[in-house]
Amino acid sequence: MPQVTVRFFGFGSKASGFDTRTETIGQGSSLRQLWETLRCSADHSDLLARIDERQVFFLRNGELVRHEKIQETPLEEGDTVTLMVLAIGG
Amino acid sequence: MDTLTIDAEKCTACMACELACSFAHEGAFVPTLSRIRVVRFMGAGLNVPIVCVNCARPACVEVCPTGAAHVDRSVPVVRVNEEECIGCGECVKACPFGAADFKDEKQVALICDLCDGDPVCVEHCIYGALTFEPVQSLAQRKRRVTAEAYAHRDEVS
Amino acid sequence: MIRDIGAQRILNVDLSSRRTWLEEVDHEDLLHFLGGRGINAKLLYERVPKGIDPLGPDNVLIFGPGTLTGASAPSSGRTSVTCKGPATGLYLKVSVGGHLGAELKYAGHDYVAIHGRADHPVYIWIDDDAVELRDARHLWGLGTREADHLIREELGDDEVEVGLIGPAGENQVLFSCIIFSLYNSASRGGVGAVMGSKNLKALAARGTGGLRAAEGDEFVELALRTRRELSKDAGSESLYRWGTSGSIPPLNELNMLASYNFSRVRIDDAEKISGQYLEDEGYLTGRESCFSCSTACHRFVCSKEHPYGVVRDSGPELETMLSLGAECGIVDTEAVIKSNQLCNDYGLDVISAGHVISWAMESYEKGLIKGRQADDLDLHFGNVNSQLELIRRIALREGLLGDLLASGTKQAAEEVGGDSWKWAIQAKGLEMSAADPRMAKSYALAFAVNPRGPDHLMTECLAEFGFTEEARALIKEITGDEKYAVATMLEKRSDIVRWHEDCYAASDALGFCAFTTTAAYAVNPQNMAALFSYALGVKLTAEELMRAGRRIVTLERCFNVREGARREHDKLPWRIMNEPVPEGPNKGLVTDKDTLDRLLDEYYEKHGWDPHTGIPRRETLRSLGLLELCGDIAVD
Repeated sequence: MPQVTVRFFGFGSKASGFDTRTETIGQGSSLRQLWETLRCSADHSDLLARIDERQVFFLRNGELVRHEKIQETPLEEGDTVTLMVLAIGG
Repeated sequence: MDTLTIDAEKCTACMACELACSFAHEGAFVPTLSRIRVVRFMGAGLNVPIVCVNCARPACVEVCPTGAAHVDRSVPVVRVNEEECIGCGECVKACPFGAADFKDEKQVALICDLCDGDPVCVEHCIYGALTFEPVQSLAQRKRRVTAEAYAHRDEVS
Repeated sequence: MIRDIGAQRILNVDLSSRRTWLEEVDHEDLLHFLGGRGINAKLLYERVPKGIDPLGPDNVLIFGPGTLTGASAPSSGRTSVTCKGPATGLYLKVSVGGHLGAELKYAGHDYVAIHGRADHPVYIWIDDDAVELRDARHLWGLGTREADHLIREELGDDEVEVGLIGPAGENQVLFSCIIFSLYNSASRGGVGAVMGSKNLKALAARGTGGLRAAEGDEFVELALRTRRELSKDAGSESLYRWGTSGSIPPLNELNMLASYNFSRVRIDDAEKISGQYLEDEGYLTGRESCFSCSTACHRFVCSKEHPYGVVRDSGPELETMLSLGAECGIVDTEAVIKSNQLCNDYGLDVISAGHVISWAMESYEKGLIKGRQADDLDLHFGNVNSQLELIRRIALREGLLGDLLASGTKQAAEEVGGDSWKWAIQAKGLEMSAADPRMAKSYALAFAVNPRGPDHLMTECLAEFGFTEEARALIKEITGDEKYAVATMLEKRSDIVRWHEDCYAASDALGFCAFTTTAAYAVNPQNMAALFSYALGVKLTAEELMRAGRRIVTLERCFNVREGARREHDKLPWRIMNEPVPEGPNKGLVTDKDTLDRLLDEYYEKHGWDPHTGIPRRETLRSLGLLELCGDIAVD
């Protein structure tokens, strides 16, 4: 079963914190499936379970994946997925 | 009795309250005719809205020599009868919060009437720096916050 | 006095003759140019002839709060400050927040136009109807914080609002700024130097009057609804929570974070200079708003370990963290808090200050600035103490290097020579904001054609990244398809830039913050037009509003054309056009001459400007009603 690295930014107790863990995914999983799995297994008090996905930046191997595309974005062994609580600035 | 509470930590000096108040009462945007005024401490990044808190026994009414400032028991709020107000300024001196002021052009007292029980300043404050609620609800909230400081158990949060 | 919002007045002050006089704004002009930035531009065009010295008495410095500033529309407290710019010799409009704009309106003035030059330092004191020129000799030389305090103390009123310069403006540093209400800055292009050249230390105002909207109930209702929508926008929420520097970690992850004088696009430990870190680590002690704004993106911070003394001040912002932080190879929170405070107090634009220093650092590391010319400072990237010392020397024009850098990177590079001009990240004489136009093509085009130089706060096309649903919806509205919300695409960029130009001009004219119209999207041409209509008792459509925006942008172009600007000036810094992105998913991208030419060709065509020169065609001016004003510069 493939393994991917998932990096969370802003989901932990610190808004500026990075948490990293390894997740085992099903063969041919999409980014959407990974996201749903992570949310379901998160504690209900966790931001991950509560956040509106529109307030999340999804990156796969350092590239931004748009919300409407996470369904069709396949994940492969060794991929790094970064989930960041959305912030804009100028 | 409902009371107006300020949370200065949440005030960002946007002045939406002053604009809402002056418009509701004067039909124009005139902060100097707002009943709520924000005091700024620029060197500290602190902003404090000052407004009538709706005393049960208001000092401004007690000192008024003509009875122009009186309590309208139906709400209850303080109202100023501008025709009877002689502009002595005693209400300004008496209010412990500095929430009473003077209308410069008309030379009469400027006292908050809490918008007849539905204050627009509260409605326009996006940050929740202003709340208007029954005193007992406020007391209950404060008791709970104090009590939570003693609790270490998961069930409490 | 309570005035109708549509009955606008200009307060004119001639510092040479010490005369003040009032003018009324023609109602037709107000509908044509919307007010604020628009009327500022018209006044500048009429009053500042070609070729005058921006630091001489013939320059006119115009403060123009927005037409809706002072009323309850959300985030509508912005003021435009307009003049001929000393760094570029071209049109300069800067935008600033705070509360001074509203105070001027309550005092009875919609514009303050400052002419001439005082024979000794003065400040203008506007006390409702009364206007006085007061001696400022005792304030000259003081930092902005101390001077602001003294002014309010001597005027005896805590609610006075002040706009003022620090020593940098007094010394006519070409990137000195004007500080408004302490936490805000009219920053770019040396606008502070213009004020300094006029011997004008400050503009202080107190207004006890008010403003009346023609259809007040409708105005207030729409304003409140818009305010609530804005507060629910995800971008607006993040700005409240973490400020503008909340975007540092995502930018770094995306390899879009300009660092080491634009020679890299990421930096280790970037979180340490992020808005999230300011909150987590307890540096953040308050959030501040501009007048009427519910987003409160401003930060108020306090140092913790105090390695540079106790620092308590507003900021730092995103651009600050980038220019004084990453661009200089510094990811130290305390250091950026300190350098930001120094710039606030000396009155220096943080963007240019950071980029001038990062240019100096690269030049030093490449051996082009050394020894005596470096004033014996160690200018390696990352040297905080040198940076802090250099900020002071620049503001005071002290030493060889301080004085050299005070002229900006363009002139400094000319003096230092060698290849140093290649890493002077500037165009038209203005240092570029830290947004990378190699990876964002609407930015590339907008930066190249920006009348004040390559900078984001005058047409920032954030939507082209498609970061949020609202951004993608906007791109779809402009181009017909959401698929164009990819910043590296070249198609449809001129449409995107054109829409943003028009919207920016209109929102500046009305006083709206760009964050509400082009970063969060609750304020749009439709509700801007509706609010304008309710305020003035007229019927302005969204199309007419955007057309007025177009009119303003074209007028600004005409000013520059008259000063001699042509297509060849519409370009990007050399590094952006010649050195590809060195790393990350966008590695290899560059915006070279061919690409820029293609973008410019489309842009000029869409605008109805001659593609060879960039000069507006006569027919274009006629269709915008600008022929009478600007016909002299038109081509057929």
